Amino acid sequence: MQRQANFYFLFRQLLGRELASRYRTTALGVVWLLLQPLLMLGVYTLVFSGIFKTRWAGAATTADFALVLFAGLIIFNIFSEVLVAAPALIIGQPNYVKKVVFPVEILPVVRVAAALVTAFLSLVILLVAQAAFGQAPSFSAILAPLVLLETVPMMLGIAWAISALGVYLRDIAQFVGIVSSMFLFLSPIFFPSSAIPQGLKWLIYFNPLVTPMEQLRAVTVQQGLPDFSILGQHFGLSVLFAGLGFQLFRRLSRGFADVI
Amino acid sequence: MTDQAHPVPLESDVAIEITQVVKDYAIYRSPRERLVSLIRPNSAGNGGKIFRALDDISLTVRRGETMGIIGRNGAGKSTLLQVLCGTVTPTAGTVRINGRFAALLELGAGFNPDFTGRENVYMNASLLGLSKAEIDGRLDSIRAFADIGDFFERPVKTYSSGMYVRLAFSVAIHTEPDVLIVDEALSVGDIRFQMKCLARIEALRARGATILFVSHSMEQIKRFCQTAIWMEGGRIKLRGEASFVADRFRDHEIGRDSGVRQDTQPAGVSRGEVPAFIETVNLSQDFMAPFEPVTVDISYCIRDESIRGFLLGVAIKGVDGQHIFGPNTYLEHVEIPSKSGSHRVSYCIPSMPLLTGTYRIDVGLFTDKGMVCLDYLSEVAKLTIAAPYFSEGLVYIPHEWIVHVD
Repeated sequence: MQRQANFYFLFRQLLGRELASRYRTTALGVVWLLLQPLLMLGVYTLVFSGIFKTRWAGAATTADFALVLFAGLIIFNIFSEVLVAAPALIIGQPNYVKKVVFPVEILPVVRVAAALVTAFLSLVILLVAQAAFGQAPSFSAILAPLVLLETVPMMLGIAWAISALGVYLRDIAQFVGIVSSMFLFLSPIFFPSSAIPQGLKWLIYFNPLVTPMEQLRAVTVQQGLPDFSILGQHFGLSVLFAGLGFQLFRRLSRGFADVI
Repeated sequence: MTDQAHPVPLESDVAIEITQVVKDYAIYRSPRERLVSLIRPNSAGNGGKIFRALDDISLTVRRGETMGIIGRNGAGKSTLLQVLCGTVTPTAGTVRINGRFAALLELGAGFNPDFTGRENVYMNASLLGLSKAEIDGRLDSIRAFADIGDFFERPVKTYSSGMYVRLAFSVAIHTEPDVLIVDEALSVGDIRFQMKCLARIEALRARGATILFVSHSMEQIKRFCQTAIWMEGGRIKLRGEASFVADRFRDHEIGRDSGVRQDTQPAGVSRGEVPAFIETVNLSQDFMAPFEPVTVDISYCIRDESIRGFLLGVAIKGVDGQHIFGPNTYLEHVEIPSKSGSHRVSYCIPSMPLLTGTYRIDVGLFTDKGMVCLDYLSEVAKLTIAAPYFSEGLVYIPHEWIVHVD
């Protein structure tokens, strides 16, 4: 019917609004963007390196461990930010659903983009920290943004599917927090994939976060090239998943106005 | 219903085309049930609880047509508008709108309270289909029309409801829509702003825009619209020339219950801020016999000379609210003074044709061909007419009896 809205312009405005409402209205503003990951990184490093004495092959010092950890967390944070916010994306905007003609499918896209902005800033922190610890990032680090962008279709698929289902199944809002914590510990963030015993390998075969985490570490802390074939396969599957997520969203969006 | 009175228009002439639109609201027990119904459309289990809000509506509105939509609450007017806007998906049927479209339904519904007027203008206008360059070009004009001063740069949540509506209307009207839907949103805001809005809508109409106008005021429908539809129970009960449809609707409503809705409500603003008001109304006599003369003396005061096109109306109604006779100075081409200060106008009936009964008199001061009500005094005077029994009925109609003898 009326699909006349200027999508790109709308997207830019919503994204600007999203970022601004998060950082403009708080006293410390953009500082939070730095402070939040650094504080979490401090805690994780203290607990896993200082208390649990976690060992990571190739990461001899605490500083090395912190970098490895941080790289994994960048990917996890995109996932977590998108997943946890998704159930409320549509429910939180009843006016956009009922009162005005609004392309609601854009809301999940904005959420993903906002998470990606945070990830890019974190990436800058990672590279700066790497340099500060005495290992100048290698030339392959210019591929790191590519690895981040590779996650976009997967995140879009998650955001569309969960936000649409969240309209009908309010329990999802409770559930996503748990899922997010599960992925924090079941993904190779605090340990390398190689440390997983043979009997538990299936855990990582079915975990879509493994590939981007490993590839991001490869191009940053390990100063090597990414595995393009794995990355390509992952990307292909992600695009397929995004397509399915979008279809689900379109289908379910017909009933949004009836239940919100 | 089909309407033979309106020949099938040329394809390029059609602004809105609604074909066999049905909207059912299934009454779901829970959101989960709704989800299941979307994934498996044929799944039973809903128990057949369906509310049909629109029942096979077909309607074609020509380009440049101004159509009124009337009907009681719950007749399906809002659902029809929502289907037109695309916020509600019809269960069956198609809706086609040619050209840019704007609805003044819920003014400012898309506003974000935390963002400034300027930011919201950009958001809102891009939702209505304007590009950034177009908005840039119209920003000054939008700001000037809304006339909210420095508030333009402040968060919308600090606005009064009047400012909110002003800004929202200004954005919507500046999209220069080809099809405009005006709900009763216009009854908010002060009178001068209402007039500005109407002037703007009038200009759009002059340019050939199609307008759908929803109102409970039959007077507004008659004055503003060429055609009208009357909706009842999700169907179009009657379609035709606006005043014809409005009168049929009014007749129907009177028959239905005695408490007829007032056509024109008093503006409800305090006298301090109105541009003009009625000071006194005096009746030359309030107890009389039929065929006696009666005069209604009206004095009104004008504060704001910039408004033009004042008109006075006097209505005689039965105690049950039935409108018996209500001419106004505009329809009868009588010019009344519009300079600031007090003025007197008398409405004289040389020979009162009404029969025994008590009647009430309403006096109203309007502008803009009666579209905007400046002051309305309902039941400002009562008139009792008493006569010896010489006929049944309400009014004396001149007549004669002719007896034919072969």
